[in-house]
Amino acid sequence: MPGSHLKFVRTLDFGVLDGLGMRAAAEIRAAEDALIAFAEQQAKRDALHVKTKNEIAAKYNQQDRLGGAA
Amino acid sequence: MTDHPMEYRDWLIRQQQQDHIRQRFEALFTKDEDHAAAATQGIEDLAYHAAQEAAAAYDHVEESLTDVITQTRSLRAQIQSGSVPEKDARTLLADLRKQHAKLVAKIAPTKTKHDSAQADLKDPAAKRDALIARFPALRR
Repeated sequence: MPGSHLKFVRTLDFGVLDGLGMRAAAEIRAAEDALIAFAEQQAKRDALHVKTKNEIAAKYNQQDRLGGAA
Repeated sequence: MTDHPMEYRDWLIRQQQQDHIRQRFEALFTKDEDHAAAATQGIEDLAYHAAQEAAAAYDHVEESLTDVITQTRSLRAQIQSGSVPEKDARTLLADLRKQHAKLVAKIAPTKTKHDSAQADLKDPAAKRDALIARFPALRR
């Protein structure tokens, strides 16, 4: 009988899937932003570390030279 | 007088011929009707299975997208805390992006399948007529 199966078929709301897709895309972008921010922060920290190390090395080298001269 | 038996015989023959034609016609008509009903039922069964497949695909996409969201949130927390190496984080993010693209690409075809199945289930005879119009060889 036509339509006899219809009552057994779920009506699907594809708006839910579209919403989930957009949410997932937003989460991925947020994670990418976090990764970029973390990488930038890490690079700044590394640069600062190298700069500090060089400054300290330069300072001690200067002291050594001064001490040697004395 | 001699004409009468002849006419009667002709009349009988004509009657028999007409009966025969009517019987053949009815047989054909019943056969066609049965065929049409079977075709309609077949279309309805196919539409039902297509609707079931669309529902299964819908559930899979829904569940998988939820997984992608959960994994991405977890990864972001790990990135922010510095507990995951940058290279690994990039690989994981690329994988999540791929999964997301694959899943999103499934939404439109699943919706088309679902809508088509619903339409066929509501009016399988219309689908049968459309198929016959498209492929006249299906007509019996």
